Amino acid sequence: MAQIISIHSFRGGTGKSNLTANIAVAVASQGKRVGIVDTDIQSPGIHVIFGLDEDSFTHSLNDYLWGRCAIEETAYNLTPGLQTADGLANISGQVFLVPSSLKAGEIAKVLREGFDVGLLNDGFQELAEQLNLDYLFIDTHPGLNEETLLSIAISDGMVIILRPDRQDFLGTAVTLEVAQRLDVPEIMLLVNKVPQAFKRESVIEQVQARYGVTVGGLFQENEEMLQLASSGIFWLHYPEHPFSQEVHAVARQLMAEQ
Amino acid sequence: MADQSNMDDQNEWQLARHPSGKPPTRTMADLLFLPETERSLMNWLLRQQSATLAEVVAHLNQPEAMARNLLQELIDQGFMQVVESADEPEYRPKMAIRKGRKVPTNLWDALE
Repeated sequence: MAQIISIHSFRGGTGKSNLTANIAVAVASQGKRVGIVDTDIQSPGIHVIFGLDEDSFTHSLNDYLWGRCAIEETAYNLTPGLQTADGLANISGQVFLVPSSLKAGEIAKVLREGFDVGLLNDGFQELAEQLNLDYLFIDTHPGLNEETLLSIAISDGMVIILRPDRQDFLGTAVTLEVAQRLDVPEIMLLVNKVPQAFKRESVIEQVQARYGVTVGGLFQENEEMLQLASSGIFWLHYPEHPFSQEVHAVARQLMAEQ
Repeated sequence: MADQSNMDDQNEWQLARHPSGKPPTRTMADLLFLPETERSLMNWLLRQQSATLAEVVAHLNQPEAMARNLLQELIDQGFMQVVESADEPEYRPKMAIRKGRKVPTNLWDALE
């Protein structure tokens, strides 16, 4: 049975999709079958990191929600196209992505007409079964809305991403309170975009003391990430980089917890 | 500025009864306002997708009558539905449709 892990941040711009993509591929590199669903229907984009062009996919999560296709028809096997800095990557597992549409009309349709939130729950379970997944990562919309609450509620584990920023700190407290009310079994915090000048141990200590939740990883801002500009999976391009080592450490913790 | 002490005020999580007596359409957000026992059962059922009475009794580790009452309470409040299956009835969370937003039609038309 697949383990469902939702990745969330209270505010936008935390690097949630980038970390989701990197961690998911790191888990797949350990021989696992991994699915990712982009439930950030209002501001999707994780497919861009995987180099998946809007014109190159025939179906998206939006099509499933409108009853135009089955959920498994919206999943794309990204494994053969994963790139390192030198060419094609060779990982032992499989990565599938269910993208949300980046077409303005499709986003507007969701906002205008709404959709059956229950269909998402059925879709997650069906997808995990059809693709025989070990892990299903849900890239959620920042903040709280109906689909995010559902994603959190059905998760076996939740990763909350925050920056060392006062607004993120206050928002994360809200997310944690909600996650606790929804009985999420495992919660992990990741601190991202930490300035190089900040002391790692001090930030981790501060965050853990504030929330009483384990900090599973801390990622510092770096020039290489800015240069890659969401055009690939960072750790495949920079396997020896400290950021990449941290990604693998988080992946190992998630696999150990489940 | 909001008073930060409200963060810990559990009164904010009280769910008002619907005045008409008819089960209202519930959302995921409503689930957060349920008392702990009901909320915990709903959380479990969301992960299970559905369960029979016997499965609910086993999960709660409580007498059948108590489980029945709890399920009926959730049905009356609009959170749960009974689905007839070949073997025995199953209890399923009743998820609301995410409503569309009210924006002038010409704005939507411009986007489509």
